[in-house]
Amino acid sequence: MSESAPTRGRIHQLPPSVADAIAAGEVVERPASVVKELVENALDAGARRVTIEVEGGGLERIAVADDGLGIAAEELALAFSRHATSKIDTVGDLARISTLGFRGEALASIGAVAAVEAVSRPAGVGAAARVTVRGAVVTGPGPAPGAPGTAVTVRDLFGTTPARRAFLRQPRAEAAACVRVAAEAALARPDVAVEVRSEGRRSLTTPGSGQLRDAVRAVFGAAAAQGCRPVELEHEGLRVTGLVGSPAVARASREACVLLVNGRRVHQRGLQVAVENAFRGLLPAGRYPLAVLDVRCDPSRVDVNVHPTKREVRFTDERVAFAAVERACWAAVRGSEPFHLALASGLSPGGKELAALGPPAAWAAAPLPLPAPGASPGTGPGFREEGAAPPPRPLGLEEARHWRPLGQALDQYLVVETGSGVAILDQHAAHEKVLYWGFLEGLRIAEEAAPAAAPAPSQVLLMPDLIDLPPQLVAAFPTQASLLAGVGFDLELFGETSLRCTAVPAGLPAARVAALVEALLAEGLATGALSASERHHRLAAVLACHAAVRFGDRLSPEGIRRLLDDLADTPGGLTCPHGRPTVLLLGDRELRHAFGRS
Amino acid sequence: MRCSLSAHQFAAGLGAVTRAVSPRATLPILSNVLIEARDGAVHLLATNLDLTIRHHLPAKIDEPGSITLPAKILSEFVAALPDGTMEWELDASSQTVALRSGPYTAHIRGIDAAEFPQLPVLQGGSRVVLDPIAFATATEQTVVAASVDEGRPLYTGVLTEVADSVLTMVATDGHRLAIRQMGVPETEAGTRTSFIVPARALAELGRLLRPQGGDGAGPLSLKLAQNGTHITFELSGYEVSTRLLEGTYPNYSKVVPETAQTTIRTNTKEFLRTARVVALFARDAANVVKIRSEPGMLTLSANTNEVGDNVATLPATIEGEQLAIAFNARYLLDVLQILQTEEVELVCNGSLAPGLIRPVGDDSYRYVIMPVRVAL
Repeated sequence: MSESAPTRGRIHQLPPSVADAIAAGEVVERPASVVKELVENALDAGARRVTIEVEGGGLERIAVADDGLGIAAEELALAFSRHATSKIDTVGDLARISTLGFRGEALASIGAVAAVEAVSRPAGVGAAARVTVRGAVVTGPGPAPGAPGTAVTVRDLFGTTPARRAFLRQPRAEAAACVRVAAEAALARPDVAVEVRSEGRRSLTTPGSGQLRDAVRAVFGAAAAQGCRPVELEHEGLRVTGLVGSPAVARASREACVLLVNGRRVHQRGLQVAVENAFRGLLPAGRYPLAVLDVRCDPSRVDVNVHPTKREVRFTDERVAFAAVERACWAAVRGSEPFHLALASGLSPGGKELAALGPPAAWAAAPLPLPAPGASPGTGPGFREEGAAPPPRPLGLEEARHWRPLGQALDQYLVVETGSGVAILDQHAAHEKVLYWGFLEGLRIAEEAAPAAAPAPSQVLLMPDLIDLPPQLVAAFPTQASLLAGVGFDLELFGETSLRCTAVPAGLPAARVAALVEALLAEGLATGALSASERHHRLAAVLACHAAVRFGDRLSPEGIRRLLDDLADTPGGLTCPHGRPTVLLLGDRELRHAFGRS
Repeated sequence: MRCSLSAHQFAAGLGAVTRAVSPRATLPILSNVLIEARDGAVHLLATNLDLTIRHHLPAKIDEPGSITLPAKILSEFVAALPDGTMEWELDASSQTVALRSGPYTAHIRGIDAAEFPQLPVLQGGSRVVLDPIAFATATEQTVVAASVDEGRPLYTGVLTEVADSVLTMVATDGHRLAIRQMGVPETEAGTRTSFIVPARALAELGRLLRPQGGDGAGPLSLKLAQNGTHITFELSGYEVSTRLLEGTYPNYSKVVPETAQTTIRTNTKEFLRTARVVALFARDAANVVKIRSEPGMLTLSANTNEVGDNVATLPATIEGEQLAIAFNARYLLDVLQILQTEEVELVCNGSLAPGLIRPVGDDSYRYVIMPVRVAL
């Protein structure tokens, strides 16, 4: 994703001072590295359409063709020598890099480990030229047939370096990695049409519409595209844009979190954690957010020349970048749509029985109103979000305030009428999430050692409670005491195996105090090494779980009303702190369909 | 089994008995009511194995017998009937009962009475005779403080002590405590006993006692029979039996404040209304209402970040030191709703010590309420 107009200087050998400034390193580790370098070159050349073909896991053949500016015949051979590039001239340019490539190493490195053929025809030139490289020996340029743009074909990768081949995975896995790299490039540049063919089959086609949502649909599927919410936030000179998936479209791996810095795909652990932090308490264990985010900042605030493959970058202020990403994601995700209960469609073949409900885990992404196409492409940096963005919804369940409770089912679920259907709530999960926020706040205040500011309300007990605990937990108590006090406990050591409790967090049923203190101390021990925010999350989740109404408790009509109102006020109220849904929606439309009404 | 009886009487008795039927019975037959015709009466029994309610009403028995019928449909049917004579006839081969009353005939399929669980027969222990209305009031005023959380079973019960012609009932959930005393008009000499009755059973008993007393049929005697694990309350044709809770009830006497740094006296209904209005804004889990004494009045306030805040005042007589204290609104409302005297007193000893609420002019009731510690 380049901001600069795709213009090109003459290819020339960099002076040694520049070459030295660029750290040496191996660029081509595996077939996917070849795809990455060639696609980046294509994008830097201003391509509107890039075609990638992968065969034999990329070892037999990788072909990348673009419709970009092309390379003049007389420069074609030079392009294959090390530190030959058109993208920078001086060391000073390194601080202002706006192209994806700049090191002048890619083609040379690929040429060293494979047979490469490059055919290029600059725009406005009548004929294409071809060079071939095998074993670093360049042949050509000679005339060749070719469309405007550049086509590079790489064969027999690592054919002369069997040691490298031994480290590769199965061809299928290598091919998948190639597709992934191409997909990430397609997500980074929704304005470029990317087509990927792997082993002769088409595995990805993006329309190049300029709409990120279209690219996400092509890569992750229609449900994911629908479940995404736009991200847009400026924070201390950083601008974060893109799409982030609601919890309902979360993935089983981290691969669906694509992070870009100034348009460059990076694998930055810190930023990844920032995204996951925004989803804390919204996803169950083992689920990871889907996100495509671009962090834009002045190129001088980020060093991309840290790693030969440019996988990592370095921010001058890492914390600012972290905060920007976390806030941007949170702002977007807290407005996520609640989960929809998926009904199996239609009637059973016998026509007698109604279609059964879907499996317990049949949570579906909510249909989001899709933006109108044809929005004028903006010129600002970052992703241009579609013209008519979905209406902003400050909180996920704010409308719960207007829902009409119909009653409680099995003393476990709340059944309510929404404006457009029926919602079923897990009463424990919903209450848990409501309480979780209160406790989280209490813990944060306790940790920041400002308890005088707003101490958590604490219910004084009628009679002190002696809580018997295993000795190791009693021994751990002194280190956890301030945290426990922060949420409202008054505890003191009482012998070697018990604590004396004289006050508990307000709202906590007296009968659950002992179990909760034990759980908190155990959790505190287990989470001692974690970051403060992660520890607070875990402790607040434990507190909320113990304090919440249980699955099976009868609730009064007022209690139900109040829970709905409280949930409406709770950020991220659509899931419990463990990431399970609190609410399942069943829309009138889905019901009509299931009942066979048109 | 063949008999006839008054539909109206039967409906009333069945309504009371079925309160013991659990909506989600563990055994299917516990959704049924056991009906026995013998000795010139029809006997009804329903149980959830913890709580059992029995009733008998006069009937003309042509042929003794027994059956169990589903409580729900039977109740709905008889409740809808006009008063009159209802005739019963059991077809033993199909376990189906034909019910006839005037123009109405119903056939209800039942389950053989032999399959109904055998309940222990209670041997009479000590007996205490009580005034049912006073007992109903005492029950209501104590049950309110009991816990509904099964996590600490003793707190779901009401400690009931009889000593020296005085019956004391105590309930607590660990955050508040209610104590009610009442005289026992008739006890066997030297009766001194103590047991813990599940609050839920007492609540059902209270519902049964109210309409009985309201009938104008004169005072009804209520008897406690005890065999150590169970207790039975008897009154005019009804028997309510419940399992007792086992354990040692906490020593509650120490928590009742004996000093009074601040004594506030105000109108009960006004206090209730004010607390109710203010509590609308006490919305988070802590449910906190703050109380502050001013000369000649009380200020109540509540606030929730998401909602807003709410302040109200009411006239009050204040003696002693100035007071600022916070309570869980629920605990405050619970007690104010059940007090019958015109005025109420709130006695406090600082913002973190137990508060005491008592009806003015009635020394038989005390309600201790623990404060919530907040920034006041």
